[in-house]
Amino acid sequence: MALALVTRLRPPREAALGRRLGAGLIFLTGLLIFVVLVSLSTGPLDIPVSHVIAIIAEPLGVHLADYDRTEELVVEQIRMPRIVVGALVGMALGVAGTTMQALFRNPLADPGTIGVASGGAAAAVIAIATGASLWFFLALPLFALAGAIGTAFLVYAIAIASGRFSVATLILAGVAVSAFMGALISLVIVAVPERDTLRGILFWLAGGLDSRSWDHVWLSGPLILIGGGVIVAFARDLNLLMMGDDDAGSLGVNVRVMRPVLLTAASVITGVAVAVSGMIAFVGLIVPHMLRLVFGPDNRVLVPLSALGGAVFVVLADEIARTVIAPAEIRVGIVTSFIGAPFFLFLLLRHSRRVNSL
Amino acid sequence: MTDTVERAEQRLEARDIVFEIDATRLLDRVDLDARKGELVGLVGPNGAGKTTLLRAIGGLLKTRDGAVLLDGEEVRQMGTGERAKSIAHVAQLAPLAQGFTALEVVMMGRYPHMGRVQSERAVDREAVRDALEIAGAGDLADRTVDTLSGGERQGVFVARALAQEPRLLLLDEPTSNLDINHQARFFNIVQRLVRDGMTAVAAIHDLSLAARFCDRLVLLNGGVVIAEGTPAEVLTPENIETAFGVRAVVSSDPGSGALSLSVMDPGAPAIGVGAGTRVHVVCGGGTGARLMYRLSEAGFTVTAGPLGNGDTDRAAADSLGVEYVPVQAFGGLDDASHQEHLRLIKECDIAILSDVAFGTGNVRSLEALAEAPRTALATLDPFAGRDFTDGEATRLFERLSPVAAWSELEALVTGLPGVAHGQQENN
Repeated sequence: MALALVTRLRPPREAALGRRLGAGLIFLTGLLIFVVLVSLSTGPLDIPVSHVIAIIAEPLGVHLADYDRTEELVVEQIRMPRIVVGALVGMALGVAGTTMQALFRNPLADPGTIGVASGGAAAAVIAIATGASLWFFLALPLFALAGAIGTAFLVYAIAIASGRFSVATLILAGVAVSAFMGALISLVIVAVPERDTLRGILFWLAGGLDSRSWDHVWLSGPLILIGGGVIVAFARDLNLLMMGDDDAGSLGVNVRVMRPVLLTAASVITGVAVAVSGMIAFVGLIVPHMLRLVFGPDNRVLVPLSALGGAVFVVLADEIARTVIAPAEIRVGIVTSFIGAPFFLFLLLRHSRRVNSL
Repeated sequence: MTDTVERAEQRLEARDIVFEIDATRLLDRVDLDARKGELVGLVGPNGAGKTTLLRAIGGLLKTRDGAVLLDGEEVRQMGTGERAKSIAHVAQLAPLAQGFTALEVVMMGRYPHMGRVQSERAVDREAVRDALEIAGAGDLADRTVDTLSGGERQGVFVARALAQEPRLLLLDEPTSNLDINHQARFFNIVQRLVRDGMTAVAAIHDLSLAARFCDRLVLLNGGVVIAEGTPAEVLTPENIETAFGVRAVVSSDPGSGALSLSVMDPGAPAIGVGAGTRVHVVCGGGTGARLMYRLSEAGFTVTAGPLGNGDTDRAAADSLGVEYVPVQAFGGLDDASHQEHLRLIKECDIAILSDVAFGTGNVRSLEALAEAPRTALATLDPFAGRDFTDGEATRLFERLSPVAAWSELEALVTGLPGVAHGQQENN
């Protein structure tokens, strides 16, 4: 519903860059605050929004209302880290998706295009199957991160091995390596004897934000913010890279430096997101497309807005995942696909010409 | 400004450019110079290396050897940002630009002039508006580029190049998507920019277009420069045959002096179906050039009637090696020339009358034509419209008994050799 609102609220494309960006930032920030507050207040324990706000304000030295200790614990130690991790993951996937679509000049590109997601997943699945994930509580995310970034570099190395870089080679290498990693995951699943381990693997593959702690925030936050910041800073070069290497080169982009930099930044933040949340599908594909329909294709607008849009999308999906069949939960990755796919198709049919053009 | 243009200072010097992919040498020690205020055309067959050379000059390729100097400064030593302010490159295939409006695309030409996080200044917006206007794309500003036609899109990308305010403009087949009207308009724009002090190098596959608009041409073939100079110096039949492997006829329009080229069918046999048959063409003023190519192509031995100097048909005859009766333009036909014409006509198997007009100067050609073993008409248009002799020509014309008109001539040219001889009357 909130997303449908986004498409209705359509600042004119002709508006100056700054005004478009400003309007988008204000709208999406407001939406994010709203979704976060609703998320913090809902769950097995109902906490009034006023109490939630008071709990957040209290450490800042502002006393707004009385609340009980349980409410404070639930908000600060259970719901808040989970929501912050969700928002960070959404930011990472939204920005990485926008970046990959621009770098590859391909509307089907998403953060997983060069094998980052499947590489991270394969490493995580192996860690779960071998019990390595139990060494210490961050072992699983660290394995996944190493797998994701390792895979990205492997794919890039394959693509430049011939001495001549081409986007098509990169995508094809990514497809091949992803298929290989997918086979590896299937092999592990088939080979694992214990039901509990298997369940752990499938859980992780569906992507989820349950029991995320502040440690996951500290693990993922800095890298996602730095990587995202790099991409925001070079968003203009991304515009030019969309025009092709020669155009980018003749308009002042050092293609041989900028492409690996942007690819690395996008891969790292995707890897971090996969590491702390598993495979949350579809965010990186549809968030950029949705925002592009409203705000146009300029990456200087699109990159910051897809960070916020991704955050809204994942936090909202997680809220639905937590509440729709409460007290049980669905996996957030399932929710993103369940809402995302039909909504994307709706947009696709409504705006098919404009989506086709990317 | 004009003074500096007249001084013709050197702007671009490309020396000894070598570029290889794997072991294939795409450019082999290529030199190219362009002065300030000059439009240099890069011509040559597909795969000659025109695009590669433009990319090498623009610093978009890592060349193996050679140097590119722009106003004495090595292009490869420039930073990418500095280079983007000096050299603009319009690629052969305009990118789809995926949802960007024309205005947004042209604004990208201003990026090199703006700080990294700086937003558009008034001066940038003005430069973009001017560039769109000059490129004739002013009314496209708010359209998304992917909804434009190929030609319109090309205009937008030219505008983007102009917004860069470069000293050197590199154009790769800039008019390949344009109709002839817009081709001429486009090159007029480039000529104006060049007169204002810009330098342009353009790869152009249409030789006539290149000859018409460029100050100098460089003919590339197989990555090597095979000719360089004015259009007339470069576009000789010999050079064209070397580069393109076709026989061509180069003629210059007596009015404008512009070169025009006609390329003969490369598949036509050098000695064809009509070998040995002599065909005489009475023509003039460009009415016979095409006829002579077709007949030569088919392998006939072609001769022609009196042709004045400066006549397009004479240039065509010269380059085809067609024997004709040379006369002074507008000088009339003296007795010696008339006898010479009669000799050619009597030797031929068939004489063809083009739709040339007749005045007192050339009316004797019709008299000679009556002596031909057989005659044919290249056109069925009424003769009266071409008679400027108060009926004298019409009277002579009516004495002819032509055996074929153009429709049959088509068969004559493409058909069996026998057609030109005996069986013609049976048709």
